[in-house]
Amino acid sequence: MSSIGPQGVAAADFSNALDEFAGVVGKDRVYVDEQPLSSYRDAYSPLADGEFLPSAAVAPDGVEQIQKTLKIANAYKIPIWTIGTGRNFAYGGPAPRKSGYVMLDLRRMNRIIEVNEKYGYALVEPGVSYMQLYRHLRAIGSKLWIDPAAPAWGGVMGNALEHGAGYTPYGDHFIMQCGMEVVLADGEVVRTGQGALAGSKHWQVTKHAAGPQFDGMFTQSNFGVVTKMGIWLMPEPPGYKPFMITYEREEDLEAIFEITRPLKVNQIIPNAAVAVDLLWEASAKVTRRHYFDGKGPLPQSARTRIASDLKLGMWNYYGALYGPPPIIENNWKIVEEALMSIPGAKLYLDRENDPAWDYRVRLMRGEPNMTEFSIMNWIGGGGHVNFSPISAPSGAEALAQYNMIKRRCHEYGFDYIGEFLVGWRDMHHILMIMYDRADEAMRTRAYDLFGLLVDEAAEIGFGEYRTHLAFMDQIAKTYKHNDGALWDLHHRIKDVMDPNGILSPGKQGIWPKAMRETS
Amino acid sequence: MMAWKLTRRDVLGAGALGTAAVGLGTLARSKPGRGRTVTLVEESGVPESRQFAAALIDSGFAGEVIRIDQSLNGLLHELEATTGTIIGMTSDPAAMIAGQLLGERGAHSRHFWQHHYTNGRWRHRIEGGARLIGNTTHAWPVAIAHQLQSAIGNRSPQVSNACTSGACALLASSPGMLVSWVYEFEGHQS
Ligand SMILES: Cc1cc2nc3c(=O)[nH]c(=O)nc-3n(C[C@H](O)[C@H](O)[C@H](O)COP(=O)(O)OP(=O)(O)OC[C@H]3O[C@@H](n4cnc5c(N)ncnc54)[C@H](O)[C@@H]3O)c2cc1C
Repeated sequence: MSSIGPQGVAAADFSNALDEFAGVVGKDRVYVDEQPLSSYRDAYSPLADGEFLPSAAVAPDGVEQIQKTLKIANAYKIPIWTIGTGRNFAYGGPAPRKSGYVMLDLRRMNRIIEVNEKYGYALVEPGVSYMQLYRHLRAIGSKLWIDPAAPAWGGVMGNALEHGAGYTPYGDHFIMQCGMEVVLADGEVVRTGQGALAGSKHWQVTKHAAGPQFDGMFTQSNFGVVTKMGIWLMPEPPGYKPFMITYEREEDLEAIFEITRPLKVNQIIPNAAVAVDLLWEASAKVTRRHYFDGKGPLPQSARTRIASDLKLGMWNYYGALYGPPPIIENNWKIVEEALMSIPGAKLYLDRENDPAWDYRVRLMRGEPNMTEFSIMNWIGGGGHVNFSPISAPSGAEALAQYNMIKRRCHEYGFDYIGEFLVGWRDMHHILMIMYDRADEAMRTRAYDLFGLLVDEAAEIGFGEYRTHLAFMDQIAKTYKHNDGALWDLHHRIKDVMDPNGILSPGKQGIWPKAMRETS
Repeated sequence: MMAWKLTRRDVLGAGALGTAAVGLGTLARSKPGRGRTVTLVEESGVPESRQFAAALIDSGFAGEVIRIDQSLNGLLHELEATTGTIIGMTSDPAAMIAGQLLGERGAHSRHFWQHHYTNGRWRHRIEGGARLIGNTTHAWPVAIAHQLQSAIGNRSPQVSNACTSGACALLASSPGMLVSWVYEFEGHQS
């Protein structure tokens, strides 16, 4: 039995609550021993071991069991932490925001409730992974694609709730989400959009209904437990043309995104095109120690050698065209002329023995895989945390972010390993700060670097789209307009909807009243 | 991704699948317990993982082999239904994924040894005698395979040691940091 308990809950009460949970989900679905609980830790954490560990986990199998579980949590004021597939690595994995919380593990709820071939959508439960949905679609002979995030084991729902991204034209997952069923903290079940109309067949075909739209409120939040979610699926296009272009100079980043913006906004390039830096790209094939065994950032001479050995650029741009072949060929002329106008650009329509090309080509056509994990071999030692600021699809903004972040990474002794991913009107910049978890000094520097980047980025107007558990409070505080009015609103909603503060306290810096007062 | 169900007999009859292991016959080896399933995970793109796996196949220790390619997808498909003992030498990310999947299904981590290339040497954090690896004339993953096989069921404190052989190179396709690991499902301990 774990020695950790939820803060402020008497041991006897906790023990009673565990018995009551067992009465709802079955004794074998309440986990209290160290072994099963150890799988709810963040294997890549930037914190020392022993932080953010749960006291227990409860694994319900359906809405009714969730309602009963919440009732018990309310009675004993036990904080619970909801996960779907629980693969949120780089942002905290399956770990809770604070030690002592009880995990609400929804992995058993992994039913694919509906696949609609005609309208192109699926309705899923929280435990459905990308790989599972992909295999299901292939098994039933569907011609629909999924849009996976890079890790195939990620959840269709969990990722969309985190505003995650993939690489096909349906890459903005929250935009592609349509309709939710949510259990509120008091056990009430709500369906959003047309799902609220008894007998409606349009829950997954339109986001619109009379009245306000609430779906966004249940993303990156702690206002409810989402139990069903619709996701739009892209029909397999008649043609697909992936490409990669390498660019020689770091400063080409500016021109790359000035050229990309009109192509993307006009949907000539329909997918989430990415510009990947040299080392991210190289790390799928070689490790740092193949080129340099010293401390600090990789010397320029080693970077030049890597680029030449692996036929890579300082930026490596991946995109794809989709649709009927004549349209692809027509659009390709525009794309090629524009993107190849940067001096030194080299075009690849295929690359042999290149795992990075292989996995990107798969992701851009909706085939889930786990290859991207291999980039963690760059340093080894299993630590990484993603710093993910947003910008406009503007060359000047991308370059400003890159220069600021790279300088800080180098000052702290880290390589810059990052990519820019362009969305409908925005750009996600993902910096992977990699460290050897066994190297205490390195891990601490990674933590400090992250904290510094949050504040510096905010000072020049860049906020993060998502973050690791350890930085949620800090990032919440950067959203300062009108004296933090937005987080005040979150807190007002939290206090009304979850007065006992049981649902994921601290998620995204949203704390229930009692915990705000004691912090 | 490929998975083969191998009987012990198939393996023994397969000849010198792991030629690197020849000459290690004098090492103490623990035999798979009666009825115990031993599943070996080989990361086929990693040379050390192949050597490690070949040594265990050659010694007849592994009953089933799961070979995973660079997509690592095989871990998701093949570890779903494993029981008994699961053993592998893999890259660090593959070890994390395997550990996560097996841990969630209730498997216990029995051994977790790290091998790390730094300053021109392989450094090992393992249980038991450091001497074996220092002195072996075989590829070090082969020595580790046999040492780990003997260690199953007898945990001892970890020691660190660096390779002292003259040929301690980092192969081009090596991830440079590897983990040799053993997970067991309860009721299947040796
Ligand atoms: C190598 C690597 C590559 C990555 N690449 C990408 C990428 O390409 N794109 C990307 O977006 N991410 C990426 N990630 C980050 C992350 O792994 C994925 O986003 C992953 O999909 C998130 O985990 P999950 O889907 O299992 O969500 P979960 O862990 O299940 O959920 C995430 C969070 O959502 C909330 N939540 C989940 N389910 C519910 C529910 N039912 N009700 C209420 N709240 C809920 C919880 O707060 C939970 O902590 C990457 C990570 C790594 C390590």
